[in-house]
Amino acid sequence: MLATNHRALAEEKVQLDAVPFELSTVHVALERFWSAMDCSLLQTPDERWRLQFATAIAEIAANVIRYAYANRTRGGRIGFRLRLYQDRVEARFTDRGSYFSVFPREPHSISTDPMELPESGFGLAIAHTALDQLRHHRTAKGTNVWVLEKRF
Amino acid sequence: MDYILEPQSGGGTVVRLDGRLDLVSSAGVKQDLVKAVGDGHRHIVVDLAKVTFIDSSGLGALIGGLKAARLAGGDLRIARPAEQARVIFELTTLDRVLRLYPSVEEALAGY
Repeated sequence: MLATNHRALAEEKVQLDAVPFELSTVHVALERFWSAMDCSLLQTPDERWRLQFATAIAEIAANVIRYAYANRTRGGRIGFRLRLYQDRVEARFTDRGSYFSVFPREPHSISTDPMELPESGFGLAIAHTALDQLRHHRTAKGTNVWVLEKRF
Repeated sequence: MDYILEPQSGGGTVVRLDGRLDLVSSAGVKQDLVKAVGDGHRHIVVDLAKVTFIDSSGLGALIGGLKAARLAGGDLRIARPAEQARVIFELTTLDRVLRLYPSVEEALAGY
């Protein structure tokens, strides 16, 4: 069920280049957002809840950085926005890169044999597990939009 | 990401990581772990106390190091995961597959 839209209580927006070291920009923006949330709400989620959200954000950020402009030599820009609502937090990534054709996978069970564990390809499943909603769509104008929601 | 290799006189090798283990650093850390195994450090304890953040690529680096160690007849153990590391291990259920040791000493025991 989609969360109803309420007025945002706080917002953080940054633009970043699609390069791995810009993950730091994402982390810094998230820390500012947590500070804004602490000032905006009487009761705030605990550290574990925040780390789950942060982990999901990092996975999607890495995904977008890796793949959005992979077929271009000059890279591109990524928009990152965080919003606080009364009942949830929402993160949004946007890029004008390639069409993203791998849709978020549902969490899958992991092998109990360490030698059979995957070494990659499970980032989206992590994000799925950590969030209440993970959505992706591409606009008519060619913008990829990732929306990450976690409810209180 | 800082990487320090500390061979232990009583057996085993402690690898201390400091920083974020993510898309930026994971390939290098995996390379270092595999090299350590190739250099004869088959019984490894990775101390995550100072690792502030791990993503799936960081987990992949640890898994890659574990596989290299086991193929060489050894093992790789995880010690002192900080809170975010615990979160991602739980999200992936890797905490059911890989034992997370509360201290380096306990992880070294039995090597």
